[in-house]
Amino acid sequence: MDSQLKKGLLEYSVLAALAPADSYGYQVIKDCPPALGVTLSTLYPLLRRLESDGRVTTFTRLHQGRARKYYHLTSLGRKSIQDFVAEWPQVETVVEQIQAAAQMLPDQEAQK
Amino acid sequence: MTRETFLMRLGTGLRGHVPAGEAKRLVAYYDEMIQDLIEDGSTEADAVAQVGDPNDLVFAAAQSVPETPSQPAHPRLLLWLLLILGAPLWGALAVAALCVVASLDLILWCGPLIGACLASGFTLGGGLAVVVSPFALIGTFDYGLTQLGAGLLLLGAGLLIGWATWQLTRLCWRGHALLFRWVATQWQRPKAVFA
Repeated sequence: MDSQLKKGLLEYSVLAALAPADSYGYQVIKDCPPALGVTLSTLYPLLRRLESDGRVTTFTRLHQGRARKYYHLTSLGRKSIQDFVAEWPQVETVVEQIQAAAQMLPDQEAQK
Repeated sequence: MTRETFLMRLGTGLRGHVPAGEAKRLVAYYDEMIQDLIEDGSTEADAVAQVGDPNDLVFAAAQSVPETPSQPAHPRLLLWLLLILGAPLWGALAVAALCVVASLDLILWCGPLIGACLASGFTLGGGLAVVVSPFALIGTFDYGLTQLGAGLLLLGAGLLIGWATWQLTRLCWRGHALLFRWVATQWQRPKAVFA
């Protein structure tokens, strides 16, 4: 997948991973689709940005004798997901346009 | 590499490259990740290897330091407070500095002033001596001739000094402009620092 496309989808995928329940970093990586290629180092700045945007809050909970940081999806985060889904039809029209152009490409090659 | 070594290298590497609070958060984040990986079945060495090289993480962190919130108004308020409270000290120093600059400028213009006085004195005196020398020639020829010669000499010297003064004035004008330009840059510098 194109890196710019991945970048755009990544934060919504992370938000979606937090939608069912509060989660922690390692679990978020496992819940995101492998196609996005979320790594430990790419997740950290993303979570920091979501936290500073107010779309995610954090809290610490004890787990097997150690502190583990959990991420909670805020109402702003939920709205962000809803907005993304609402805008998807517009993205689809762009995809359709690109697909139509892609179908025309072999014909142009044949004309040459 | 053990978890302890990794965290130590990461913490040391981050020091000075990212704010202390951010460094602490990063170390805690990667520590948690290593422990989660171990809990998920990886060995300590494998978990550390999966997290990556501490140097690369430091480099990545230094490249993307999270945005810090805009500074509150307090430092600016504090700055104004310090400026007002320190006015007796910095005010006196500023007045002294201005006096020094004014003195330098005055010294600079002393040359042309002396030159102008000499030139005008010599020219006027010489001119007058030349103009009245015919009367002296009628009275006592020797005195009159000496007065005419001395008058012409003074007039010539006055004109030469006048020309030299004009050249000196041009130089002084340049020096004056340079001095005030320098003063202006000193005035603008603190503004740039506080901006």
